Amino acid sequence: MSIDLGLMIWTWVSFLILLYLLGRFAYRPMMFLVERREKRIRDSLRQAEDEKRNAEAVTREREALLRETQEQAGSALEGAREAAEGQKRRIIAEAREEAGRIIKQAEAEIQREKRQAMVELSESVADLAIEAAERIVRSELDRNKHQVLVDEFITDLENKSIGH
Amino acid sequence: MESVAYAWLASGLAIGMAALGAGIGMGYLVGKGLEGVSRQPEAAGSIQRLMVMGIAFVEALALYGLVIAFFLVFKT
Amino acid sequence: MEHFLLRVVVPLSIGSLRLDITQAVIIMWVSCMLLGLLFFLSVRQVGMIPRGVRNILEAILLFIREDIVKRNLGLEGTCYFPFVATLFLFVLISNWIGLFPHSFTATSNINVPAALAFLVFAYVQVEGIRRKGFLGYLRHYAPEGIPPALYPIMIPIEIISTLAKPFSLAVRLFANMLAGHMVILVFLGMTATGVWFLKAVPLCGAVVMAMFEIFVGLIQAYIFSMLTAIYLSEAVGAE
Repeated sequence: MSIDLGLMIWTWVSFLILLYLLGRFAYRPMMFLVERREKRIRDSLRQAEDEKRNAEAVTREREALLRETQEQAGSALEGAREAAEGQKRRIIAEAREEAGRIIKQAEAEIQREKRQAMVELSESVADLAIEAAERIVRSELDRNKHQVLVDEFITDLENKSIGH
Repeated sequence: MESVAYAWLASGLAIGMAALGAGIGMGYLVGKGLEGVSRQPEAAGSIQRLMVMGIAFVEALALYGLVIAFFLVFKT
Repeated sequence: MEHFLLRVVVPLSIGSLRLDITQAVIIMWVSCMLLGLLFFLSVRQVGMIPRGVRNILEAILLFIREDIVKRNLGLEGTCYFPFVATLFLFVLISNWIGLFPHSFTATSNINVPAALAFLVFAYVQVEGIRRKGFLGYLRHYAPEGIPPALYPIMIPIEIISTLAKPFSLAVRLFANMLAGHMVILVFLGMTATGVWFLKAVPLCGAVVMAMFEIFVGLIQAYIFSMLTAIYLSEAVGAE
C-alpha cells in the first residue's frame, strides 16, 4: 500500500470522463424533465387552488342569494297571510253587519205587518160585529142597548187577543 | 524480533485508544441527540440525520487508528 | 491483506511512469460503465412519469441537488451540481461494488480517494480564485476581525488547515472502506477454522457487517460530497 501515481492518474481519467459524459448527456435531460415536472405540478397546484377559491366564492354567492330569496319569500308569504286574514275579518264583519241589518229590517217589517194586521183585524171584527148586531137589532132588540153589549164584547175580545 | 513485538503492542494500543476516544465522543453525541429528540420530538428527523453524520465523522477517527493498527500489524 | 493489494492485469508504462491497468482500474471502469448504463436506461425514457431505475436516479439526484448543493451553495450553486453529483455517484458505486464477491473496492486503496480529494482540492482553489479574484482568494487566509499582529500565527494555521482538508477527506473515505471490508474479511477468515457449528457465528458477523457496509458506503459518499459542497461554499463565499 503505497502511493501509486498510475492509479491516481487512472482515477482522474475515469472520473473526468464520467463527469464529462454524465454532465453532457445524463444530468441535463434528466434534470430538465424533473424541472418540467416540478413546474407542471406547481402550476397544477396553483390552478387547483384558484379553482377552489372560485368555487368557494360561487358557492358563497349562491348561498347568499338563496338566503335572500328565502327571506323574501317568507316575508311575502307573511304579508299575504296578513292581508288574507284582514280581508277575511273584514268580510265576516260585513256579512255579520248585513245579516244584522236584514234581521232588524225583517223584524221591523214583521212588527209593522203585525200591527197593520191587528188594526185591520180589529176594524173588520168591529164591522163584522156591528153588522151582526145590526142584523140582530133589526130583527129583535133596540139598537143602543145592543151596541153597548157588542162594544163590551169587542173590548173584551181585544183585551184578550192583544194582552195575550 | 523485539521490534515486531513493539509493533504488535503499538497496533493494539492504537486501535484501543482510538476506540476509547471515539466511544466517548460517540456516547456524548448519541446522548445529546436523544436528549434533543426527547425534548423536541418533531425535530427528530433532522436531529437524526445530523447525528448520523456526526457519528460518521467520529467513527472515521477510530478508523484512522484501525488503519494505523493494520499497517503496524502487517508491516512485519 | 493481500486482498487489498493491486494486481496488475495489463502492464503498461510510458517512459518511467507506470500506468499499469490493475484490477482497481478495471473495477473503476466497470462502475463507470454501470453508472452509464443506468443513466442510459433512464435518459432513454420519455414522458413525465419516471419508471424503473429512473426513480432511483431521480431520487438520488434530487437529494443531491436539494440537500447537498442548494443547502450549502444556495441557488447559484447549481453550476456545481454535476461535479458534486458525479462525485457522489462515483464514490457510492465504488463503495458498493466492492461488496460483491471477487470484486475489489477501488476506494479502499488510498490512491483513489487521494486522487478524488486532490481533484476536489484543486477545483475548490480554482473556483475560489475565479470567483473572488486572486487578491480576494489570498485574503481568505487572513480572516477579518483578527489583529494584524496575529497574522504570523494565523496565516500558517489557515494554510495548514486548508491543506489538511483534502488529506482528511481522503483518509476518512479510505479508512472507512478499508476497515469495513477488512472486518468482513477477518470474519470470513474465522469461518475457515474451528468446528462446523461454530463457523456460523463469524458468518453471521460477516453478513451483519456486509449489511452495515452498505449503510457506511452510502454515508461516506454523502459525507464526501457534502464536505466538497461545504468547501466549495467556503471558497466561493456563498451564504
